Amino acid sequence: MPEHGEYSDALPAYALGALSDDEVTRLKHHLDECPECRAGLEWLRAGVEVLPASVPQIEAPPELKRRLMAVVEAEAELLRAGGASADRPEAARRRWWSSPSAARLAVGAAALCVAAIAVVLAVSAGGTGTRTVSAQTTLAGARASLQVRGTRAELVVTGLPALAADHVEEIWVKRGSAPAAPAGTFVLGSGSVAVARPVRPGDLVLVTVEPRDGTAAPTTAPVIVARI
Amino acid sequence: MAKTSNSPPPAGLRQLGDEDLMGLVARGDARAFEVVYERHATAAFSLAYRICGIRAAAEEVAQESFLAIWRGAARYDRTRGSVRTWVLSVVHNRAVDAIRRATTHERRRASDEHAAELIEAPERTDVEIARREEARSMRALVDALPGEQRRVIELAYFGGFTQEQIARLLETPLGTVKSRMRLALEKMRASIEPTGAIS
Repeated sequence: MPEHGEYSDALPAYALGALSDDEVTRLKHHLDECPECRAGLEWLRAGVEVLPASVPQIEAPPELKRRLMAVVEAEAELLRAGGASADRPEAARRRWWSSPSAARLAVGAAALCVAAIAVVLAVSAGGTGTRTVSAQTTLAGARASLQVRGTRAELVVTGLPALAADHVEEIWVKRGSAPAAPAGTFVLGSGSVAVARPVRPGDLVLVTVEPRDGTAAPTTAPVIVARI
Repeated sequence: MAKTSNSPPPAGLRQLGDEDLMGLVARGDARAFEVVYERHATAAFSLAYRICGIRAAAEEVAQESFLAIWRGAARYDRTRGSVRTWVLSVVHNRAVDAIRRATTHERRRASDEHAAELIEAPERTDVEIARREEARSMRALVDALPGEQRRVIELAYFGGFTQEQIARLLETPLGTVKSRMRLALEKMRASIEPTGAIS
Protein backbone atom coordinates (compact mmCIF):
# COMPACT_ATOMS: atom_id res chain seq x y z
CA MET A 1 0.00 0.00 0.00
CA PRO A 2 1.41 3.43 -0.94
CA GLU A 3 2.69 5.69 1.81
CA HIS A 4 1.07 9.00 2.69
CA GLY A 5 3.85 10.83 0.88
CA GLU A 6 3.05 9.08 -2.39
CA TYR A 7 -0.56 10.15 -2.16
CA SER A 8 0.49 13.67 -1.33
CA ASP A 9 2.78 13.70 -4.38
CA ALA A 10 -0.17 12.74 -6.55
CA LEU A 11 -2.36 15.65 -5.46
CA PRO A 12 -1.23 18.15 -8.15
CA ALA A 13 -1.89 15.64 -10.92
CA TYR A 14 -5.26 14.80 -9.36
CA ALA A 15 -6.20 18.48 -9.18
CA LEU A 16 -5.25 18.84 -12.86
CA GLY A 17 -7.15 15.70 -13.89
CA ALA A 18 -3.93 13.96 -14.87
CA LEU A 19 -4.19 10.65 -13.01
CA SER A 20 -5.33 7.35 -14.47
CA ASP A 21 -8.70 5.98 -13.38
CA ASP A 22 -7.05 3.45 -11.07
CA GLU A 23 -4.91 6.11 -9.45
CA VAL A 24 -7.96 8.30 -8.96
CA THR A 25 -9.83 5.48 -7.23
CA ARG A 26 -6.97 4.80 -4.84
CA LEU A 27 -6.40 8.46 -4.06
CA LYS A 28 -10.09 9.05 -3.38
CA HIS A 29 -10.03 6.31 -0.76
CA HIS A 30 -7.04 7.96 0.86
CA LEU A 31 -8.67 11.40 0.76
CA ASP A 32 -11.66 10.03 2.64
CA GLU A 33 -9.35 9.24 5.52
CA CYS A 34 -6.73 11.99 5.36
CA PRO A 35 -7.73 15.54 6.32
CA GLU A 36 -4.19 16.76 5.62
CA CYS A 37 -4.39 15.69 1.98
CA ARG A 38 -7.91 17.05 1.65
CA ALA A 39 -6.69 20.45 2.84
CA GLY A 40 -3.70 20.26 0.51
CA LEU A 41 -5.95 19.44 -2.41
CA GLU A 42 -8.28 22.36 -1.72
CA TRP A 43 -5.30 24.71 -1.60
CA LEU A 44 -3.96 23.43 -4.94
CA ARG A 45 -7.39 23.56 -6.58
CA ALA A 46 -7.48 27.31 -6.18
CA GLY A 47 -4.33 27.36 -8.30
CA VAL A 48 -5.92 25.13 -10.92
CA GLU A 49 -8.80 27.60 -11.24
CA VAL A 50 -6.39 30.04 -12.86
CA LEU A 51 -6.25 27.80 -15.94
CA PRO A 52 -9.89 27.92 -17.16
CA ALA A 53 -9.97 31.60 -16.23
CA SER A 54 -6.94 32.24 -18.46
CA VAL A 55 -8.56 31.01 -21.66
CA PRO A 56 -9.29 33.57 -24.42
CA GLN A 57 -13.01 34.33 -24.25
CA ILE A 58 -14.94 33.22 -27.30
CA GLU A 59 -18.65 33.83 -27.68
CA ALA A 60 -20.77 30.71 -27.71
CA PRO A 61 -22.70 30.33 -30.97
CA PRO A 62 -26.36 31.45 -30.71
CA GLU A 63 -27.60 28.16 -32.18
CA LEU A 64 -26.09 26.35 -29.21
CA LYS A 65 -28.46 28.18 -26.90
CA ARG A 66 -31.43 27.50 -29.19
CA ARG A 67 -30.70 23.76 -29.31
CA LEU A 68 -30.07 23.56 -25.61
CA MET A 69 -33.16 25.51 -24.57
CA ALA A 70 -35.38 23.47 -26.89
CA VAL A 71 -34.40 20.33 -24.99
CA VAL A 72 -34.50 22.02 -21.58
CA GLU A 73 -37.95 23.53 -22.13
CA ALA A 74 -39.35 20.26 -23.43
CA GLU A 75 -38.01 18.43 -20.39
CA ALA A 76 -39.38 21.13 -18.08
CA GLU A 77 -42.78 20.61 -19.71
CA LEU A 78 -42.43 16.88 -19.17
CA LEU A 79 -41.72 17.50 -15.51
CA ARG A 80 -44.81 19.66 -15.22
CA ALA A 81 -46.95 17.23 -17.25
CA GLY A 82 -45.75 14.41 -15.01
CA GLY A 83 -46.88 16.40 -11.95
CA ALA A 84 -46.09 14.95 -8.58
CA SER A 85 -44.94 11.63 -10.01
CA ALA A 86 -42.28 13.38 -12.04
CA ASP A 87 -40.76 14.62 -8.81
CA ARG A 88 -40.54 11.08 -7.50
CA PRO A 89 -39.01 9.11 -10.33
CA GLU A 90 -37.95 6.22 -8.10
CA ALA A 91 -41.49 5.55 -6.92
CA ALA A 92 -42.86 6.01 -10.40
CA ARG A 93 -40.32 3.66 -11.88
CA ARG A 94 -41.27 0.90 -9.47
CA ARG A 95 -44.91 1.24 -10.43
CA TRP A 96 -44.07 1.03 -14.12
CA TRP A 97 -41.84 -1.98 -13.68
CA SER A 98 -44.81 -3.85 -12.32
CA SER A 99 -46.96 -3.14 -15.35
CA PRO A 100 -47.25 -5.43 -18.40
CA SER A 101 -45.57 -2.87 -20.58
CA ALA A 102 -42.58 -2.62 -18.32
CA ALA A 103 -40.08 -3.26 -21.07
CA ARG A 104 -41.19 -0.18 -22.95
CA LEU A 105 -41.61 1.95 -19.91
CA ALA A 106 -38.30 1.18 -18.30
CA VAL A 107 -37.03 4.42 -19.70
CA GLY A 108 -40.18 6.31 -18.76
CA ALA A 109 -39.52 8.17 -15.54
CA ALA A 110 -35.82 8.18 -16.16
CA ALA A 111 -36.61 9.83 -19.47
CA LEU A 112 -36.90 13.06 -17.58
CA CYS A 113 -33.17 12.81 -17.12
CA VAL A 114 -32.12 10.66 -20.05
CA ALA A 115 -30.39 12.16 -23.04
CA ALA A 116 -33.07 13.10 -25.48
CA ILE A 117 -32.89 12.84 -29.20
CA ALA A 118 -32.10 16.28 -30.50
CA VAL A 119 -35.02 18.55 -31.01
CA VAL A 120 -35.13 20.41 -34.24
CA LEU A 121 -38.14 22.61 -34.29
CA ALA A 122 -40.11 23.70 -37.26
CA VAL A 123 -38.23 22.44 -40.26
CA SER A 124 -40.23 23.77 -43.11
CA ALA A 125 -41.40 21.42 -45.84
CA GLY A 126 -41.65 24.45 -48.08
CA GLY A 127 -44.44 25.47 -50.38
CA THR A 128 -47.14 23.08 -49.20
CA GLY A 129 -48.06 24.87 -45.99
CA THR A 130 -47.06 21.74 -44.14
CA ARG A 131 -44.18 21.84 -41.73
CA THR A 132 -42.33 19.09 -39.96
CA VAL A 133 -41.79 19.30 -36.23
CA SER A 134 -39.28 16.83 -34.87
CA ALA A 135 -40.10 15.14 -31.59
CA GLN A 136 -38.11 13.79 -28.69
CA THR A 137 -38.54 10.15 -27.93
CA THR A 138 -37.20 8.13 -25.05
CA LEU A 139 -37.56 4.85 -26.95
CA ALA A 140 -34.23 3.54 -28.20
CA GLY A 141 -34.11 3.24 -31.97
CA ALA A 142 -37.40 5.04 -32.52
CA ARG A 143 -37.96 8.32 -34.32
CA ALA A 144 -41.00 10.55 -34.37
CA SER A 145 -42.13 13.79 -35.93
CA LEU A 146 -45.30 15.74 -36.60
CA GLN A 147 -46.58 16.95 -39.94
CA VAL A 148 -48.49 20.12 -39.12
CA ARG A 149 -50.81 21.90 -41.52
CA GLY A 150 -52.91 24.65 -40.01
CA THR A 151 -54.58 23.23 -36.93
CA ARG A 152 -54.23 19.63 -38.08
CA ALA A 153 -51.32 17.42 -37.16
CA GLU A 154 -50.24 13.95 -38.10
CA LEU A 155 -47.80 11.93 -36.03
CA VAL A 156 -45.20 10.02 -38.03
CA VAL A 157 -43.26 7.30 -36.24
CA THR A 158 -40.65 4.73 -37.17
CA GLY A 159 -39.15 1.93 -35.17
CA LEU A 160 -41.51 1.92 -32.19
CA PRO A 161 -40.99 -1.28 -30.20
CA ALA A 162 -43.87 -3.74 -29.90
CA LEU A 163 -46.43 -3.03 -27.21
CA ALA A 164 -47.39 -5.45 -24.50
CA ALA A 165 -50.77 -7.18 -25.01
CA ASP A 166 -53.84 -5.08 -24.28
CA HIS A 167 -51.95 -1.82 -24.49
CA VAL A 168 -52.00 1.06 -26.95
CA GLU A 169 -50.17 4.28 -27.60
CA GLU A 170 -52.32 7.27 -26.67
CA ILE A 171 -51.82 10.75 -28.08
CA TRP A 172 -52.40 13.84 -25.94
CA VAL A 173 -52.51 17.53 -26.68
CA LYS A 174 -51.47 19.75 -23.80
CA ARG A 175 -52.16 23.46 -24.03
CA GLY A 176 -50.69 25.76 -21.45
CA SER A 177 -51.48 24.74 -17.90
CA ALA A 178 -54.63 22.84 -18.91
CA PRO A 179 -54.63 19.06 -18.39
CA ALA A 180 -53.49 16.98 -21.34
CA ALA A 181 -56.51 16.13 -23.55
CA PRO A 182 -56.79 12.72 -25.25
CA ALA A 183 -56.30 12.83 -29.03
CA GLY A 184 -56.57 9.23 -30.21
CA THR A 185 -54.93 5.86 -29.72
CA PHE A 186 -52.89 3.66 -32.02
CA VAL A 187 -50.84 0.49 -32.26
CA LEU A 188 -48.10 1.01 -34.80
CA GLY A 189 -44.46 0.18 -35.33
CA SER A 190 -43.91 2.54 -38.23
CA GLY A 191 -46.39 4.77 -40.06
CA SER A 192 -48.56 7.79 -39.42
CA VAL A 193 -51.67 8.59 -37.43
CA ALA A 194 -53.80 11.73 -37.24
CA VAL A 195 -53.85 13.75 -34.03
CA ALA A 196 -57.59 13.82 -33.30
CA ARG A 197 -57.62 17.33 -31.84
CA PRO A 198 -56.79 20.68 -33.36
CA VAL A 199 -53.37 22.02 -32.45
CA ARG A 200 -51.90 25.47 -32.37
CA PRO A 201 -48.43 26.93 -31.82
CA GLY A 202 -47.12 26.29 -28.33
CA ASP A 203 -49.13 23.10 -27.79
CA LEU A 204 -47.34 20.00 -26.61
CA VAL A 205 -48.19 16.74 -28.31
CA LEU A 206 -47.38 13.78 -26.08
CA VAL A 207 -47.62 10.02 -26.47
CA THR A 208 -47.97 7.64 -23.54
CA VAL A 209 -48.58 3.91 -23.26
CA GLU A 210 -52.03 3.15 -21.83
CA PRO A 211 -54.43 0.20 -21.41
CA ARG A 212 -56.25 -0.97 -24.58
CA ASP A 213 -59.24 1.39 -24.44
CA GLY A 214 -57.18 4.43 -23.60
CA THR A 215 -57.60 6.59 -20.53
CA ALA A 216 -59.00 10.02 -19.72
CA ALA A 217 -55.64 11.28 -18.41
CA PRO A 218 -52.06 10.04 -18.86
CA THR A 219 -51.09 7.36 -16.38
CA THR A 220 -47.50 6.95 -17.52
CA ALA A 221 -44.65 9.25 -18.47
CA PRO A 222 -44.57 10.38 -22.10
CA VAL A 223 -42.43 8.37 -24.49
CA ILE A 224 -42.77 10.95 -27.29
CA VAL A 225 -43.04 14.70 -26.95
CA ALA A 226 -43.14 17.49 -29.50
CA ARG A 227 -43.96 21.15 -29.29
CA ILE A 228 -45.97 22.66 -32.10
CA MET B 1 -47.69 28.01 -19.45
CA ALA B 2 -43.98 28.30 -19.52
CA LYS B 3 -42.52 31.08 -21.54
CA THR B 4 -40.57 30.06 -24.56
CA SER B 5 -36.98 30.92 -25.32
CA ASN B 6 -38.27 33.67 -27.60
CA SER B 7 -38.96 35.81 -24.56
CA PRO B 8 -36.15 36.82 -22.20
CA PRO B 9 -36.14 35.49 -18.64
CA PRO B 10 -37.93 37.76 -16.12
CA ALA B 11 -35.81 40.59 -14.76
CA GLY B 12 -36.30 39.26 -11.23
CA LEU B 13 -34.43 36.12 -12.12
CA ARG B 14 -31.51 38.08 -13.47
CA GLN B 15 -31.12 39.77 -10.11
CA LEU B 16 -30.66 36.49 -8.29
CA GLY B 17 -27.25 35.09 -7.46
CA ASP B 18 -26.04 31.92 -9.13
CA GLU B 19 -26.57 29.81 -6.02
CA ASP B 20 -30.20 30.89 -5.69
CA LEU B 21 -30.78 30.27 -9.38
CA MET B 22 -29.42 26.74 -9.04
CA GLY B 23 -32.06 26.03 -6.39
CA LEU B 24 -34.73 26.96 -8.95
CA VAL B 25 -33.02 24.96 -11.69
CA ALA B 26 -33.03 21.91 -9.43
CA ARG B 27 -36.83 22.26 -9.30
CA GLY B 28 -37.11 22.30 -13.10
CA ASP B 29 -37.20 26.06 -13.76
CA ALA B 30 -36.07 26.41 -17.37
CA ARG B 31 -35.96 30.22 -17.20
CA ALA B 32 -33.60 30.14 -14.23
CA PHE B 33 -31.43 27.71 -16.16
CA GLU B 34 -31.40 30.12 -19.09
CA VAL B 35 -29.98 32.86 -16.86
CA VAL B 36 -27.28 30.50 -15.58
CA TYR B 37 -26.47 29.56 -19.17
CA GLU B 38 -26.22 33.18 -20.28
CA ARG B 39 -23.85 34.01 -17.43
CA HIS B 40 -21.45 31.15 -18.03
CA ALA B 41 -21.83 30.13 -21.68
CA THR B 42 -18.89 32.17 -22.93
CA ALA B 43 -16.50 30.83 -20.29
CA ALA B 44 -17.76 27.28 -20.80
CA PHE B 45 -17.55 27.38 -24.59
CA SER B 46 -14.13 29.05 -24.46
CA LEU B 47 -12.76 26.33 -22.21
CA ALA B 48 -14.27 23.58 -24.36
CA TYR B 49 -12.76 25.15 -27.45
CA ARG B 50 -9.37 25.59 -25.83
CA ILE B 51 -9.31 21.88 -25.01
CA CYS B 52 -10.97 20.43 -28.12
CA GLY B 53 -9.49 22.84 -30.67
CA ILE B 54 -12.45 22.27 -33.00
CA ARG B 55 -15.60 24.38 -32.88
CA ALA B 56 -18.01 21.53 -33.59
CA ALA B 57 -16.50 19.40 -30.84
CA ALA B 58 -16.52 22.34 -28.45
CA GLU B 59 -20.20 22.95 -29.17
CA GLU B 60 -21.00 19.33 -28.49
CA VAL B 61 -19.07 19.36 -25.24
CA ALA B 62 -20.71 22.61 -24.12
CA GLN B 63 -24.17 21.29 -24.96
CA GLU B 64 -23.59 18.00 -23.15
CA SER B 65 -22.19 19.86 -20.17
CA PHE B 66 -25.08 22.27 -19.80
CA LEU B 67 -27.60 19.45 -20.19
CA ALA B 68 -25.78 17.59 -17.43
CA ILE B 69 -25.97 20.73 -15.30
CA TRP B 70 -29.70 21.10 -16.01
CA ARG B 71 -30.40 17.47 -15.20
CA GLY B 72 -28.02 17.27 -12.24
CA ALA B 73 -28.63 20.69 -10.67
CA ALA B 74 -29.69 19.08 -7.40
CA ARG B 75 -26.15 17.78 -7.02
CA TYR B 76 -24.67 21.26 -6.92
CA ASP B 77 -23.21 21.88 -3.47
CA ARG B 78 -22.49 25.54 -2.75
CA THR B 79 -20.12 24.63 0.06
CA ARG B 80 -17.74 23.11 -2.49
CA GLY B 81 -17.35 26.15 -4.68
CA SER B 82 -19.06 28.66 -6.91
CA VAL B 83 -21.47 27.78 -9.68
CA ARG B 84 -18.91 29.03 -12.17
CA THR B 85 -16.27 26.68 -10.78
CA TRP B 86 -18.74 23.79 -10.95
CA VAL B 87 -19.79 24.61 -14.52
CA LEU B 88 -16.17 24.82 -15.68
CA SER B 89 -15.34 21.60 -13.87
CA VAL B 90 -18.16 19.79 -15.71
CA VAL B 91 -16.98 21.25 -19.02
CA HIS B 92 -13.38 20.31 -18.30
CA ASN B 93 -14.24 16.71 -17.46
CA ARG B 94 -16.34 16.26 -20.58
CA ALA B 95 -13.88 17.99 -22.86
CA VAL B 96 -11.04 15.83 -21.55
CA ASP B 97 -13.17 12.73 -22.05
CA ALA B 98 -13.77 13.84 -25.63
CA ILE B 99 -10.16 14.62 -26.37
CA ARG B 100 -8.94 11.40 -24.81
CA ARG B 101 -10.81 9.65 -27.58
CA ALA B 102 -8.73 11.58 -30.13
CA THR B 103 -5.27 10.62 -31.29
CA THR B 104 -2.20 11.62 -29.36
CA HIS B 105 -1.11 13.83 -32.26
CA GLU B 106 -4.40 15.72 -32.33
CA ARG B 107 -4.36 16.17 -28.60
CA ARG B 108 -0.79 17.39 -28.49
CA ARG B 109 -1.48 19.85 -31.26
CA ALA B 110 -4.58 21.16 -29.50
CA SER B 111 -2.71 21.60 -26.26
CA ASP B 112 0.20 23.32 -28.00
CA GLU B 113 -1.82 25.86 -29.94
CA HIS B 114 -4.01 28.59 -28.72
CA ALA B 115 -7.31 28.77 -30.56
CA ALA B 116 -6.46 29.45 -34.16
CA GLU B 117 -9.76 30.86 -35.33
CA LEU B 118 -10.69 33.01 -32.43
CA ILE B 119 -13.93 34.87 -32.59
CA GLU B 120 -13.63 36.68 -29.33
CA ALA B 121 -16.74 37.63 -27.43
CA PRO B 122 -17.71 41.22 -28.07
CA GLU B 123 -17.28 43.42 -25.04
CA ARG B 124 -20.90 44.40 -24.70
CA THR B 125 -21.28 44.80 -20.99
CA ASP B 126 -19.19 45.79 -18.03
CA VAL B 127 -19.30 42.20 -16.86
CA GLU B 128 -17.96 40.93 -20.18
CA ILE B 129 -15.21 43.55 -20.20
CA ALA B 130 -14.28 42.48 -16.68
CA ARG B 131 -14.23 38.84 -17.75
CA ARG B 132 -11.97 39.66 -20.66
CA GLU B 133 -9.63 41.57 -18.38
CA GLU B 134 -9.65 38.73 -15.90
CA ALA B 135 -8.75 36.27 -18.65
CA ARG B 136 -5.84 38.48 -19.67
CA SER B 137 -4.51 38.78 -16.14
CA MET B 138 -4.91 35.06 -15.49
CA ARG B 139 -3.13 34.31 -18.75
CA ALA B 140 -0.31 36.56 -17.66
CA LEU B 141 0.05 34.46 -14.50
CA VAL B 142 0.30 31.30 -16.57
CA ASP B 143 2.71 32.90 -19.03
CA ALA B 144 4.91 33.99 -16.15
CA LEU B 145 5.62 30.39 -15.20
CA PRO B 146 8.91 28.84 -16.31
CA GLY B 147 8.38 27.17 -19.68
CA GLU B 148 8.86 23.61 -18.47
CA GLN B 149 6.31 24.10 -15.69
CA ARG B 150 3.76 25.75 -17.97
CA ARG B 151 4.21 22.93 -20.46
CA VAL B 152 3.33 20.14 -18.04
CA ILE B 153 0.25 21.81 -16.62
CA GLU B 154 -1.04 22.73 -20.09
CA LEU B 155 -0.51 19.18 -21.35
CA ALA B 156 -2.35 17.91 -18.28
CA TYR B 157 -5.23 20.36 -18.03
CA PHE B 158 -5.82 21.32 -21.66
CA GLY B 159 -4.34 18.25 -23.35
CA GLY B 160 -5.97 15.64 -21.13
CA PHE B 161 -2.75 13.69 -20.67
CA THR B 162 -1.95 11.75 -17.53
CA GLN B 163 1.27 12.51 -15.69
CA GLU B 164 2.81 9.27 -16.97
CA GLN B 165 1.90 10.10 -20.57
CA ILE B 166 3.43 13.55 -20.12
CA ALA B 167 6.64 11.99 -18.80
CA ARG B 168 6.84 9.81 -21.90
CA LEU B 169 5.95 12.64 -24.29
CA LEU B 170 8.59 14.92 -22.85
CA GLU B 171 11.04 12.10 -22.20
CA THR B 172 11.33 13.36 -18.66
CA PRO B 173 11.37 11.36 -15.41
CA LEU B 174 7.92 11.02 -13.80
CA GLY B 175 9.22 12.54 -10.59
CA THR B 176 10.30 15.64 -12.48
CA VAL B 177 6.87 15.98 -14.06
CA LYS B 178 5.23 15.70 -10.64
CA SER B 179 7.46 18.33 -9.11
CA ARG B 180 6.92 20.72 -12.05
CA MET B 181 3.16 20.33 -11.65
CA ARG B 182 3.34 21.08 -7.95
CA LEU B 183 5.62 24.08 -8.39
CA ALA B 184 3.39 25.52 -11.11
CA LEU B 185 0.22 25.13 -9.06
CA GLU B 186 1.87 26.54 -5.96
CA LYS B 187 3.04 29.60 -7.89
CA MET B 188 -0.37 30.21 -9.42
CA ARG B 189 -2.04 29.69 -6.06
CA ALA B 190 0.32 32.12 -4.41
CA SER B 191 -0.25 34.65 -7.20
CA ILE B 192 -3.92 34.93 -6.43
CA GLU B 193 -3.45 35.38 -2.69
CA PRO B 194 -4.76 36.70 -0.41
CA THR B 195 -8.29 35.74 -1.42
CA GLY B 196 -7.36 32.66 -3.40
CA ALA B 197 -10.64 33.09 -5.19
CA ILE B 198 -11.47 33.81 -8.78
CA SER B 199 -14.93 35.16 -9.12
